[in-house]
Amino acid sequence: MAREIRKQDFRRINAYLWELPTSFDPRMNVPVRIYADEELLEDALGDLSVHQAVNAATLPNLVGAVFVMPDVHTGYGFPVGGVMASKVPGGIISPGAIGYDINCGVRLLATDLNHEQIAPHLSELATRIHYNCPSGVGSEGHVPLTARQLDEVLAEGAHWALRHGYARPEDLEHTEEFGRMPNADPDKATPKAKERGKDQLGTLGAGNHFIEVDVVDEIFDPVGAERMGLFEGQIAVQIHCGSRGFGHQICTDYLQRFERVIHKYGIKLPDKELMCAPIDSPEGQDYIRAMACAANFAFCNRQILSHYIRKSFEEVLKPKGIAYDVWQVYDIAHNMGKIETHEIDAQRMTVCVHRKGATRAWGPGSPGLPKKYVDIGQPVLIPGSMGTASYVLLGTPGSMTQTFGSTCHGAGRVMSRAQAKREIRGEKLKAELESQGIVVRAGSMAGLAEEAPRAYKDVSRVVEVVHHAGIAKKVARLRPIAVIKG
Amino acid sequence: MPELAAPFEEIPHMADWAIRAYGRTLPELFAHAALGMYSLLTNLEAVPKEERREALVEAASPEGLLVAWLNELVYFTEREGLAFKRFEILELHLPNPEDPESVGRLRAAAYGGRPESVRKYIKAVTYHNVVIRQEDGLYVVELVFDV
Repeated sequence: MAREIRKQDFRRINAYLWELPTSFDPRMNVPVRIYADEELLEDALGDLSVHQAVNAATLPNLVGAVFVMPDVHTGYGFPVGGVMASKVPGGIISPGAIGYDINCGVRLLATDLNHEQIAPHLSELATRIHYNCPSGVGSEGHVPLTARQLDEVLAEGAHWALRHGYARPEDLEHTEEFGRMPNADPDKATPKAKERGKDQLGTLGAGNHFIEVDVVDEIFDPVGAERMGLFEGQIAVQIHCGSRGFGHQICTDYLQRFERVIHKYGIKLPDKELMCAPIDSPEGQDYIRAMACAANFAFCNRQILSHYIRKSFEEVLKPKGIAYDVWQVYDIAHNMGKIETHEIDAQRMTVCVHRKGATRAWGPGSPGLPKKYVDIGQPVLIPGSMGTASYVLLGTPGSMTQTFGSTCHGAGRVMSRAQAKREIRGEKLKAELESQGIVVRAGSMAGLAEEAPRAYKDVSRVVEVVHHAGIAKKVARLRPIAVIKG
Repeated sequence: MPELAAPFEEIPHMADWAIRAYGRTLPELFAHAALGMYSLLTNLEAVPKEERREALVEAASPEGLLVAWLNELVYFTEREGLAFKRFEILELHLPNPEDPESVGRLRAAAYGGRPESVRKYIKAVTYHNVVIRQEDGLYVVELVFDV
């Protein structure tokens, strides 16, 4: 085990930012910067996440710093809640610093319905969504694909869904990368990944993935909220899921491939899970194109889930004569590697930003934002733990100058799954949530227990840190009224 | 031969699942690691043994062979809904540690069937801090599973 990391090893830059300088460990090429208040810093030091950030800081040709978000927890190789950027050309790409669930992300749909209108029908709506959006690992969806159709999905992302009647054009406009990573090459996706993915489009998966029906219960920024069409008392829906078995297999297969060639590039790894290859190498280029396929699978997957959520609203509300609309506020990725240009040490540089459990949070005026949001910044969607609040924020000029346009992604675990399973009973938790007026539809009670709110940090505290640190700006808070999960 | 108290044990991990496996030989360590993984997944006593799946993997390190093989099993599990309870290491050639170009090879059979219910699906076997070490004459490895 590496040397212990203590609070006094950090230099406090301001109330919400701490730096572990390169002098801490001679192997570090860049410092580690942690966004946290004192309590969240103690939490971060309570697991291996800061050690993992230090390990990442030893990788070659990184720029700026390795950033750690306030919701950080131990990952494998790179912490969940970590951001790093490598030089392009000359730097590395690390699948482990992007995550197995490539383009795991969050989509927010909003409606023109208020809580009173939906309350009498909520239970029925939750049941329909649970039925229409299959969940659980290995679950199969309503959209089985031929090999050729899967390749189209991998190349086109959410645009495939639009071509086949599962999307409105404005859904794509309000999706990160407009729903399609342009450099995807289906020939670089492995046969096993394709085999795992072909029946999984339109499925939610398991683990911490969920669909949640929410009420907007507080607005902090009326201008931002109005632009997104959000108002107090409004019904909204969040979808949290990713690229399913397809993305996991891409990560697995490329880690294996990288392991066999890493010696050629003379890269020394502190942990095999940080396995990487030079971005310009054939292996690195192939991974980037395969990763883009997984990202496109995920964009298309969340789009098809959105379609089935709209269908669920229609099945429940249309027979009752209730008129409504469901539109997309935005869709973000929080496990992704992106080639972007940032100003670093007063120089414009092209870098590969690795965000694992971290959200892109581009500020106002950034190229690549939809017209609707270009002057207010990119919407940032931060789901809380099950049964607790979630937040809508906006990217800021501060996130662009401080963190390569990145911010946090959620609440972050403080209790292991094994401990949660020992200490919390799923049935009891379900009863507790239902006593708070939250409808629960879950495939597995043990899975529910692992995702219990007390296994996570307080999302409001996490959001306060990024808001006050200036790497995102609070717009609205959501309160759950129905949780649907595998 | 040193004594083996247990083939594997579950160890805590913040966001995922982890085990520590033991073996008197490397093939036994590999088989115990697979057994530990499937013991997290389901109650193995209720799983039949009529299905046999054989896998062949190559990797640049003993740890790479282990992780690649377990990921092959994860793939069978997800595609076919099978859980495995008996493992036979048919061939194990380790890479030459002196030669970075050298590649090891593992061929193994797994026997199992459809489980009645599944406690926990495993999406991937990670390389996180995977080091096969020797302690008191036993081979030991810790594995973290992405769930």
